[in-house]
Amino acid sequence: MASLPFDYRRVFLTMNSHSVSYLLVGGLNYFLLHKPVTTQDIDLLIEDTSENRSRCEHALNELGGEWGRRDDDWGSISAKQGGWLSGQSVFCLLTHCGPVDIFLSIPGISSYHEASLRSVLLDLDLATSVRLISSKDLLSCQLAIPEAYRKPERIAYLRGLDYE
Amino acid sequence: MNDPQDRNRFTDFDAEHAKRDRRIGSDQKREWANGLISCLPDSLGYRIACTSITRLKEQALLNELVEIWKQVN
Repeated sequence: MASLPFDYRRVFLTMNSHSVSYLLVGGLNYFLLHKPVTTQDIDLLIEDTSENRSRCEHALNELGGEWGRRDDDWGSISAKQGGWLSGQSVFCLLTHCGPVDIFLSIPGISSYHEASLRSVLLDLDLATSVRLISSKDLLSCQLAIPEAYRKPERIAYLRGLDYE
Repeated sequence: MNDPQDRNRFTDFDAEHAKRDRRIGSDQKREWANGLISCLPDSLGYRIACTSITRLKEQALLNELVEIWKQVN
């Protein structure tokens, strides 16, 4: 794959245009809602239904996604049979807009529906909006993952927020 | 994090990331490391987004750029 920009707006626009039900999690969520931090990819938790996974597959195809279940079958997802987005909890893809992680489930979020009800809608510009998991859920995610993966500074910051 | 299923998820996570990393050339890594992309909306108060595959060492650089941006805006 040629040089990759990191264009998360286009990722959101494409997901939205395909009516994918998703929530932004991870470092970019923290970046957009709280503080500038470095991040290496766009982490999206999608609703784990066959219809939504199919919509997400089409969106990722439009984004020029590459993925493989193994090293030896890595390639364009346009060549993969529909339904590839299943059978594991996370998929780390390369796209024309940068690296994208698709989570079907994530520690700390027991119900996508409930997390969606608590989520925050952020308008990045007139054309682009994105729904992010709430700060409280972001904290729950941090606390639910193994210690080695946690970000202590983020946890301290998120714990200090007023959730009333 | 005591659920064995959750531990497996993180085994998946590491393996998935490693699989993708093997596909990324050194030029691309360097570009991400050095390339600071301006694509944050004005409404959020700053525009500078730092994205990098090498996540550890760029935070100081990002902070520096945010400070510069604040000064010129």
